[in-house]
Amino acid sequence: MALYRYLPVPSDRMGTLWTLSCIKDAFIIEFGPSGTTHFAMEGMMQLNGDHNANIYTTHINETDISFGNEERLEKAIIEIDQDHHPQYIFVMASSISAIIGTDIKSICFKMQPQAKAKLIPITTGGYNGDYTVGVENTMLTLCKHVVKKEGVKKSKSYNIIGNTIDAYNFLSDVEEIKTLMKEVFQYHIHTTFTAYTSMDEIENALSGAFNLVLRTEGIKGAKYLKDNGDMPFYYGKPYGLEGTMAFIKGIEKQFQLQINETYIQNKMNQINKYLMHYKFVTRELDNKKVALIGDFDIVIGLAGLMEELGLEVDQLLIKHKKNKHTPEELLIRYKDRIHFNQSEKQISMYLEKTPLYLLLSDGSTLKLHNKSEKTLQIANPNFIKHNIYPYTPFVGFNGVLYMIQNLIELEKSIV
Amino acid sequence: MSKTSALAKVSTLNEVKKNEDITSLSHAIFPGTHCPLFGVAMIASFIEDLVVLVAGTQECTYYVKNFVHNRQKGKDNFYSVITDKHDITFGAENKLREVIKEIDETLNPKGIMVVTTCVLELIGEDVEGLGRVLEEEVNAKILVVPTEHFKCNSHIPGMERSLEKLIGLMEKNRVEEKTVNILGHRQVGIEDTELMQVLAKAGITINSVLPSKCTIEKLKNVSKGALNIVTDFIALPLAKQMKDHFNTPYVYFGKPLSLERIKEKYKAIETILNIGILKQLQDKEEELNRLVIETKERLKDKTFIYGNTPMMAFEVASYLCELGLKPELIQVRELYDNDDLFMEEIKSHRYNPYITKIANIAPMEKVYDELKPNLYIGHENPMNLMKRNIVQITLDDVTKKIGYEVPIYALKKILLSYRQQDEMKKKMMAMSKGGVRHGVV
Repeated sequence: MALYRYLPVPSDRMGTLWTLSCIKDAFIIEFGPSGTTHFAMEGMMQLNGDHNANIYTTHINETDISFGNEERLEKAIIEIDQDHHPQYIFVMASSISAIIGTDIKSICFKMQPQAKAKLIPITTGGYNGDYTVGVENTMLTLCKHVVKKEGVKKSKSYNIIGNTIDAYNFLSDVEEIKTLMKEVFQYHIHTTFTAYTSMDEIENALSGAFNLVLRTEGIKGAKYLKDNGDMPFYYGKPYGLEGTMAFIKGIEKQFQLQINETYIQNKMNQINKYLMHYKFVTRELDNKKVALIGDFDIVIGLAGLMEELGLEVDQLLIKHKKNKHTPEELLIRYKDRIHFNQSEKQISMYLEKTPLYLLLSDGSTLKLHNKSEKTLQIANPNFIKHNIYPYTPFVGFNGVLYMIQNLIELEKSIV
Repeated sequence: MSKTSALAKVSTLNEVKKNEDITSLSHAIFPGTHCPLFGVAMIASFIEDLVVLVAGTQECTYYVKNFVHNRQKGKDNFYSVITDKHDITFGAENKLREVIKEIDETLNPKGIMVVTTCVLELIGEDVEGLGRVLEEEVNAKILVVPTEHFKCNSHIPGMERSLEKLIGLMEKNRVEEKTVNILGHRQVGIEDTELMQVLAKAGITINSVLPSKCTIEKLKNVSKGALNIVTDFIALPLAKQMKDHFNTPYVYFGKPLSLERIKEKYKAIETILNIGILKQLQDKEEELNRLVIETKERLKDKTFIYGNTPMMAFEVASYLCELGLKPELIQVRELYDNDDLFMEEIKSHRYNPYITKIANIAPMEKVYDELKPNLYIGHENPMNLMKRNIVQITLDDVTKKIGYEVPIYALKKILLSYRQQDEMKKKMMAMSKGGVRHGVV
C-alpha cells in the first residue's frame, strides 16, 4: 500500500545523496528544483551525519522543462570547475529532470572537454528502487570512477566499504571496528567508504591491503575492486559475541593474520559475566519474544545477539528489498521469520497483533501502535535520537556490552 | 559604485525594474530556496484536525513529514502517498482515489488537504478535478493545493495557497461586533502581542487566528469576525477572498518598522472598529523614538548586507537607510507589491546597492571580502562572518510580534548584536596582549 502515516522507504536518489554527502571535497550539482536539494540537505540532519560535500542546485523552471533547456546545468558545471577546481564533479538528475528525460550522461560527455574536473553522471531520479540501491550504486560508482587503478600498498592497512551516514549507529560502529582491527590484528584504517572520507582517500583506496564490507550494499563495489584492482574483501559485521568471533576468525582465515588472543580472552571474560547476568535477570519472563525491524545487516546481526541472550526471535522485518548479493547462508537460520520490503501497514498489522517483550526497530516504526513491553531504537529513520558521541557501538565486543547495558536498563525501567 | 568581479553580473538597485532583472550570484546555487511544499507544511501543520495528504516522491514526502513532525512535536496529521514510475506512466488517479477514501473511512476527518508536488503537476494529473468528484463520495471536504516548484522560486505560494484554500471550510455567519480575525500569524502566543493586548483593553476579542490557533470546527465560524487583520502578506489572498465571499473588511498590518506606518495601521483598525487604541501606546512610541536616536548615534554610516528576515527585504533596508546605515547588497526573493515604494526611498538616500536573489550563500564569501560590510542581517554560517568582523543579526523572533514591538525588538537586537561583537573584539585584543585575568571585572 502506498499510504504512510510516518516515513516512507527512502528512494535510491536519497541513498545516493546520503552516500556522497559526507565526502570531503566532493562536488555535486543537482539539476532540478532548488527545494528538492534544500529539503534533502536539511533532512540529512535526522541521520546525525555531517554533510561535508559541496552540494549545489541549478533550480529549474517551466521554460527549461518545456524546451528541454539544459543551459543552467552546463553553466553550473563550468562555474564550479573554474571557481573551485575540483577533481571530480558528480552531476545528478532530480525527479523532474529524470521524468523529462534529461540525458545527464550526454551532458557530461558533451561538457567534459570544457571541464578540468572529471564529470561523473548520476542518472537516478528516484524511481529505480529504494535507498539501498542508491547506496550500492554510489559505492560502485566511486570504486569504478574514482579509485585509481594502482596504489602503493601500505602495510597493515584496510578499507571499510559500507559505513555510510544512513546507517543509524555508523559513527560508533566504525570506531569499534577500528578498535577491534587494531587490538586483534594491529591493522589500521586506510579509506572508509564513505563516512567520513575525502575524494583523495577514495582515489588511493587500493593502497589498503583488503576491504572489509560492512553492509550488503558494499559487496558490488568490493567485487569490482577485487576483479579490477586485485583487492580481496571480507563481508560481515560483528554483532554479538558469536558474531564478533566469527568476524575475527573469518578475517584471520581469509587474510592469514595473527590474532591477539589475550585481548580476545579478556573481552570474552568481561562479556560472559554480563551475558549470564542478563539471562539471570530475564530468566522468569513468560514472554521472551523479540522483533527486529530495520536495515538488513543490523537486523540479522542483532538477531544473533538476542538469541545469545536467551530471547526468542519472533520476526525479522526488513524495510527494504532484498539485495541480490546477500549470501543465502545468512538467511537460512531465519528463513521463515525474515521478510523483506515490509510496508508501514504490514509492520503495523504485525505489531498490533503480536505481544512482544522487546521491539528493536527504527524510530519511525516506534511511533506505530504496538504491544511491546520494551522498545529500543536500532535503525533509521530517526525522529529524536541525537548520535554525536562516537563510543556507543552496537558491534564488536564493546557493542555487546553496550547492548546488554541498554537491555538491563530497559528491564529495570517501569513502563 | 564600481562592479567587482564577484558582483560583475549582478544588477544594482537602479537597474532593477522587474523580477528578471534580479539575478543570482552564481549558476550553481547553495542552498537554494525552499519549495511551496515547505510553505504548506508551515501553514497546514498548525490546523489540528486537518489531515494533509502529500502526494509525491519518497523524497518530498519523507522530508516534509520529518519537518512537520519535529516542528509540531509529533502532533502532526501529515500522511504520504508515494507516486512511482507506474503512476507517472499511467496516471495516479486510482491510487489517489483509493488512499483518500481510506483516510476518509479510517480517520473520518472533516477536511483533507491533498498536496500535489512537482511530479504530479508535471504529468498533468487533474487532482483538483478528482477532489471535486470525491467530495460527492466522501464525508471530508477536499482541499487541493498544488506545490510545483518549477513555476515559482520560493515557498511563499505554498503558504498563500494553503491559507486561501481554507475558505472552502468556512461558512457564512452573522458578524459579531467587536471581534477580529488574525490572518497569517504563524506563531503561538498571539495573546502576548502588542496588538492583541491593546485590542483586548479596548474590548475587542479574537474570533479566530489563522493558522496558528485553528481547527476545522473553528474555521466554520471565521466569518463572524468584524475585521480581518492580516499580519503577514501570505494571507492577503485569503483576506481578499473573504472580502468577496463574506464582505469582511481587512487591514494589512504586516511588519512595518517606521513609527508613522505603524501608527497608520493602528488608525485604520481604530476607524473600522470604532475604538481608541493609540493612546494606550504612547509609552511604546517613546521607547521606539529613544531607540531610533540611540541607533542613529551608534550605527551612523555603518554598512550592511541584507540576507533574510521574516520581514520584507526592501522595507527593512529602507528603514535602516532612514536610520543612517548604508546598504551594500540586498538579497531578495522577488519583487512584491509596494516594493517600488521602498526601493524609491532607498534611492532617495542616494544609495544604489547590489540586488541579488536570496538563498545562495555559497558565493557570498567573496562578496564579504569585496564589500566589507559592518553588518549582515540574516542567516549565515556565523564563522564566515565572525572571522571578517561582520556583525550578524538574526530577527526570527520578530514573527511573534505585531506593532511597535517589531521595530523595538529589531533595534534592540541590532544594538545588542553590535555591542556583543564589540565586547568580543575587546576581549580578543586583551587576549592577544597577554590574556585576561579570571575573576577580574
